[in-house]
Amino acid sequence: MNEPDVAQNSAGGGVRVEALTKSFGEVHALAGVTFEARPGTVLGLLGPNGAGKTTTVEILATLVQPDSGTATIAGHSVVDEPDAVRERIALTGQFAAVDEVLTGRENLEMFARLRGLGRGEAAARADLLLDQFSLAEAGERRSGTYSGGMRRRLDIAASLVVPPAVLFLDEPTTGLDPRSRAEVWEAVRELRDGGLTVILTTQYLEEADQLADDIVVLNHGRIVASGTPAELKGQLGATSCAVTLVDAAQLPSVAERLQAFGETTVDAETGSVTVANAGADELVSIVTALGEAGVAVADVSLRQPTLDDVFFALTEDSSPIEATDTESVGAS
Amino acid sequence: MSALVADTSILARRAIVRSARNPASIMSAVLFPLLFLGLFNLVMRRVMAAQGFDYAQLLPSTVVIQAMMFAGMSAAYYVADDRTTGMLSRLRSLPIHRASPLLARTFADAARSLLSIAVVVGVGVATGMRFTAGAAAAAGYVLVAVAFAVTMSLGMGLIGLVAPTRDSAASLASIPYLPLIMLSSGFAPVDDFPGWLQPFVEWQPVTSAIDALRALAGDGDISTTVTRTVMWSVVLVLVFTAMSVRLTDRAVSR
Repeated sequence: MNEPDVAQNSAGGGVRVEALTKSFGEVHALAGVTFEARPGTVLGLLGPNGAGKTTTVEILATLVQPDSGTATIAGHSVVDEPDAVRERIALTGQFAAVDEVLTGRENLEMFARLRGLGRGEAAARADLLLDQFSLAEAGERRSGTYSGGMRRRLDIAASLVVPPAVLFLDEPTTGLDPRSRAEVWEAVRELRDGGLTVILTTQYLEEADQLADDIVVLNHGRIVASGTPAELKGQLGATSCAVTLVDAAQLPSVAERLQAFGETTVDAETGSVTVANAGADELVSIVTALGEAGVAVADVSLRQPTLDDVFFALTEDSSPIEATDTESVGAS
Repeated sequence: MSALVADTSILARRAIVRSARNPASIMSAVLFPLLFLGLFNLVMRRVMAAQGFDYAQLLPSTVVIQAMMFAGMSAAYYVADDRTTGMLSRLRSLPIHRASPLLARTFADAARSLLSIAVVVGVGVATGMRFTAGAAAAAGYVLVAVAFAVTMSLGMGLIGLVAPTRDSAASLASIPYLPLIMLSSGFAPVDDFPGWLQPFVEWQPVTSAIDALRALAGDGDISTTVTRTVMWSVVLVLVFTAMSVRLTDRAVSR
């Protein structure tokens, strides 16, 4: 990456969103959303399908007009100064929007030319990006032959032909296998370290946890929580202790026995009992108690609260995720 | 203005490369028209000769217009492809001229149509077609055909903006194609159609364009047929362009 450009561009490359609303017919995709992404940080927009993540990105990328509210990129209004905004952003949408018929290099050169680079500059930039995203060997192959992860990397590279102030990554790892996902995560981390402001939407809590400096949790077009990953996890508090049994038939009796250490929940699928609010001391006591009772234990572990726990705690009062499918037409 | 030219030429080049590397595009631009020309000549030539219809002279103009409609159908496919892959959204988030994606598509289809015209007319002339109205009329022949391709590209491109997938866009685009080409003066004279259909057959844009091409090749009155075709093209291009702008705004917001 071209470091000086990034530094220059990201000065003031923050994103401000205030009281944003957008409806598609009867569907309120966004019902008043306010947040801020500080320059040089990754903001994770987290939520289920139809939560309003993509609508937010589409408004910020000047593709959709909001019904009300304001949104600015590096101080420029997305409604009143769309051209100034487009100069400063790059959009990597839900699908890897690269041309399958063109080679990786041709894709990058085309996008570079569209951003006003001359032929020579565009070729040099393509070389650099292919190298940076580990695509140098595949550069002369059509992108249609790429793996999902390679295509995603090319897609992100195409967003960087001119370093933007703000990069939008809309569900960058949806549909990718774990290895490709790790590759994309690595690429995003490098971008953040390079000083880019990134708005990342994701349905995966682990992804937000891994990549985001700040997280905004959306549900039904509203913000239900926001904060750093640590703060959000802090809302749920302590660790829990999970005991996996060799004999699943013992689950009910063991669950009852362990009530003495805290509230227990049984997961029949994994054959485990989880004791809430249990730390290292409780773990030792639990193991001792089970040993005395002669229960064969396959695994014992302490679990940190995950963002999944936070997420489900935050959204459990709302209607189930499946019910938002009707919304996804307009909002996702 | 220079941004419009630069952005359009970059995107038009991409569109042409895409077609050139797609065997299906080559087939529909070159092979299908030649098959139609050859097969219809083979099957219908004698039948039509008995009716006083000189297929060797008249059929190539039909096949040229047919090939222009194929260009439109491929536009439906490629527009839907760009829309459903997110390419359209990405292009619209770039600081490029707003009109360049549509204009580029149109230029690429015009280029493709030139190839089809060259191949069909080349084979047509080899099998007995003659241009007897002079060089200017022959140049007009190419211009009218390209204008018709551009009109079809814009019109069928609209299908690409609303169809759920690129494959359904290609299928949907064949729905207007069949009645328009079959219920025209292209394969049989207007008088041979049932009376109630004749007004449609006579006035619809495909008949108009085929008649104009035939006149420009030397069979018919140039000024009335070309005037009618130009008027059809102007009206349709304006309507289709306005609809494209509207539907593109809606398409990227989904």
